[in-house]
Amino acid sequence: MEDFANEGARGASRWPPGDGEAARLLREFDWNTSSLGKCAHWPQSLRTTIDLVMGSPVAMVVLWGPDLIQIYNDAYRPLLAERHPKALGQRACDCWPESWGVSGPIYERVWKGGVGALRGQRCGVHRDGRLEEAWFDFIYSPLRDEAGDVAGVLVTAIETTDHIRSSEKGERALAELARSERHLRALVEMKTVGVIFFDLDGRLLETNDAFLKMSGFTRADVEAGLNWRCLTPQEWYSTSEKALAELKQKGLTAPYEKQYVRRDGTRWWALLAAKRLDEDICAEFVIDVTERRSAEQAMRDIAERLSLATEIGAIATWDWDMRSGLVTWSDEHFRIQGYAVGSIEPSYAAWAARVHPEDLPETEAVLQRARDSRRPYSYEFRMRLPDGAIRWCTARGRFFYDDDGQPIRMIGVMQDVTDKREWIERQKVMIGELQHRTRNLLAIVRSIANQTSRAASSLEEFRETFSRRLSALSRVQGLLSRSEEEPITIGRLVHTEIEALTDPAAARSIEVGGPDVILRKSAVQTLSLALHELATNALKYGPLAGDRGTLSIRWRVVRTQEGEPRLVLEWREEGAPVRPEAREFAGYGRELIEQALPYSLGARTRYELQPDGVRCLIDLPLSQGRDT
Amino acid sequence: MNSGAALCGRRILIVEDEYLIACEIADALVEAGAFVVGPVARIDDALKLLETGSPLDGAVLDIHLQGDTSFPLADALAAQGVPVVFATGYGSEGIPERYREIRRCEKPVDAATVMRVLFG
Repeated sequence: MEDFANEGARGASRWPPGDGEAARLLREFDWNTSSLGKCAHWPQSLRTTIDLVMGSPVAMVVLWGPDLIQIYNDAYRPLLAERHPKALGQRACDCWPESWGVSGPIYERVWKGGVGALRGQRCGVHRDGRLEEAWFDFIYSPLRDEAGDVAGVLVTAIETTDHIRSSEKGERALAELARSERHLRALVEMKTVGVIFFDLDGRLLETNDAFLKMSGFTRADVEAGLNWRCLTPQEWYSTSEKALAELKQKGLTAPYEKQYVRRDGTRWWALLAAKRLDEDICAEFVIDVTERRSAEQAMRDIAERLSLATEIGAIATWDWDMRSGLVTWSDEHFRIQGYAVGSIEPSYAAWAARVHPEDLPETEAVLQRARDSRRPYSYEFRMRLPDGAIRWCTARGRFFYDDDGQPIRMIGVMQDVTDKREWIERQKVMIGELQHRTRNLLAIVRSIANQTSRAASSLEEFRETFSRRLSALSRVQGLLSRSEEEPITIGRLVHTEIEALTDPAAARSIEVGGPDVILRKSAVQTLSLALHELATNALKYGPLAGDRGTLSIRWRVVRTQEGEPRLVLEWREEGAPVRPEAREFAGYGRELIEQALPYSLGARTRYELQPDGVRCLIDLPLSQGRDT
Repeated sequence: MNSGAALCGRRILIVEDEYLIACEIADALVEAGAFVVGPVARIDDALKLLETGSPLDGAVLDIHLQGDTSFPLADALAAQGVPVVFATGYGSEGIPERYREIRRCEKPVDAATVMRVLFG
């Protein structure tokens, strides 16, 4: 109370009171220059108003008199910005010419006793030396003099910046929210991407139409409660369980793929990525990748089939990127060229290094011709492996060109045809051999025919003898044709001839014995013809013609002093006198034994016709010469 | 046989390892008036005849002889200017390039062909 009293006392000499800048400036202002005159003469109503204004923390300005002379408090000063301090004692219309169009009419109305307001006005204000944007509501009310007439206007500026700011932010946030909701909805409504919401137990809470379409389930199914297990084939449970665990732990899953099962039981493939939205709810994007998967599967199948086919067919493949020089080989390519699979970097040089040096120039020339003439490349050449082995390869390839006609790529296949080549070579030899044998055979047949016709006394006899000899020749051809699989032994030769000529009764009188000895092929024909003649004579005119005689055919292997093995065969007929014709008919057989065997085979032979049968010794080298 | 005049008195070597065929060729040539040298079955024997015997007028050679070939013998005969004919069952594929010039007659051989090939 004392303070107020003191203030009041001081106020008499120092008006308006207060230490504020506005009060000080008012005190110091030379009011004589204004239409208000000295402040000492101001009416009480004005002074009271000014006291009120100066003491108020609310921004206020008093506009007094018909000129609307401005008197404002410290709170109002920021609103004046650079107009301060000139604005004090200035006419309102001089201070605010730019906004007079708006404020002028308001003042007029207030002057007539009304009130006015301008709300939400944006102003530039000076605060802490900076110009800032601020919002104000302006309230205009009349001030009256002692007579009760309007003598001025009180303008109160109430700052609403904070309010405006916060509501602006809210609106923006709301707009933002609406926008993102719109985006989200659009996303959820996308026809190609399924979106599902589910809890951490995997129960479906909501899905978009796209997902329903993919999965074949209905919204009613979802509402009735649909668990991930209903959508997942059993073998994919573990994948889904892993995803749920990941969601619980990390809050999201890496994109993954799994199979789903539709309502109708068919399967489909989905690409998925889920995120946990809050405590219980997760969202997941689902893309149907069934087509892509089946396309990939088809590609894998094709690749697998191709690789199987090339592997089974032992077909090597290469792919040569001619721009980078990069070459790709299949495993078989490494193998054919004698490289361990993957042991070197495939290259043109690595290929060329294993091509037989004699074949390389022509092989490369063929390659270049194919490239330049745009024709397929096809060539057969030899490969020489580090161990010296030779392999025949057949290769086929094709070049590819860019738009400028430059060769950019070559792909091809290669096969090891060594076996085929060897087989063809063998075939050639065999055909030659066959031709040789046939020609020789014809010559022999002619020789036999000549010999037989010379000795025959009648056509009937010729026919019988010739046919018998041809049969013997035919039997030995049979043995020779099978000799690769079944080497011809002397035992086999002897048995064949005996069996062909004798009846079972006669066979009992024949004794055959000796070790298994394989004969040279070149020895077989002449020897068998000789044995045939001996056997025929024994059967017809010798001891076997009756039933008292015997025949013994025995052989053994002896070695010469030089260690050369020889076959010694003894033919011994006994026990019955030979008929006189025997001597006559023994001619051909005897010639074969005494002439042909020594001539062709280097045999030593002895032939004796005793009264009771033939004694014959054939001593034949087993290893002389090389058989063709 | 009309080859008689051409072959008459000529000394022809026969090298053939198959006795019956050798006899056939020999008989045919003898019948045609030739003087047959051999026949022999082995190259060694043929070379011996070449060194020691009288000069030859021609030779009929089997190509394959007990695992050998008669090409070295053909070389030796050619060196002496003796005309040679191969009597063979093989086609030309079995014959090395440089012997392809030598004429062949296919088995069975007849004297007329041998005469034509050697002296025709």
